[in-house]
Amino acid sequence: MEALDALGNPVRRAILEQLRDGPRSVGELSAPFSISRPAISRHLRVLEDAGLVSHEARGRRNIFSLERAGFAAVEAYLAAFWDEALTRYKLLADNIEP
Amino acid sequence: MIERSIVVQTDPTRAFHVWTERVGTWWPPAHHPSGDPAGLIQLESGLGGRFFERAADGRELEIGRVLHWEPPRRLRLSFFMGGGPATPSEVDVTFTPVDGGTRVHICHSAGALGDRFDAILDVFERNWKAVCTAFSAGVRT
Repeated sequence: MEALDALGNPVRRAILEQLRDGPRSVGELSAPFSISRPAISRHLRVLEDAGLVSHEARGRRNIFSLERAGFAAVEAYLAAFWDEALTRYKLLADNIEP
Repeated sequence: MIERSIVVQTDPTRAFHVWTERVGTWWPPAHHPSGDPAGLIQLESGLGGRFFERAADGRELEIGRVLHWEPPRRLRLSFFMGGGPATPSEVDVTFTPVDGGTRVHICHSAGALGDRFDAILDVFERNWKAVCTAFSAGVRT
């Protein structure tokens, strides 16, 4: 699942945490890291492809924000997984011989 | 955080046994790390036990590790998912005797992802706990 893969990286998680406080430009997002702006931009592209962030152009800057749909998709994916897993587990546990 | 609660018609010892030693039978076939539903899912007993798939070609693909082993009451597993061992989520499973069997409760939290994931969701879903409660009630048998 693309969004889970995107979340599995500490730099990307730190970017998401910054965005929790509100929209940010690439420059603002790069500031806390000793990582180049192009590298931050690559991480943002991964996050955007995974549906976790989106951006809009304001003048010459791209401003990034969290995308609710991507996070909701992760939750939905995990919820569907557990619903299936627990249904199968219950079927087995209910029918195990004493 | 995902929470689910079900009641199974057996005692906690057998419920714990089915969860752990029979995991290969109930783990959803579409969620094998190898992508092959024929792979064998296994969980090693005890603290630090490996949770992994033995694929048809002999490769062993890690799914997680046992973090807490307390039969028949409680089990906690790290669950690697997309990020690999460096960034596991955690699944806490409790087995509680109730009338008619055992209540099995799972809580899948962000674990090493920290509270950040939940905090991010909180931005969008301030009544998340109410949603969780509704989900749990929906699957309670």
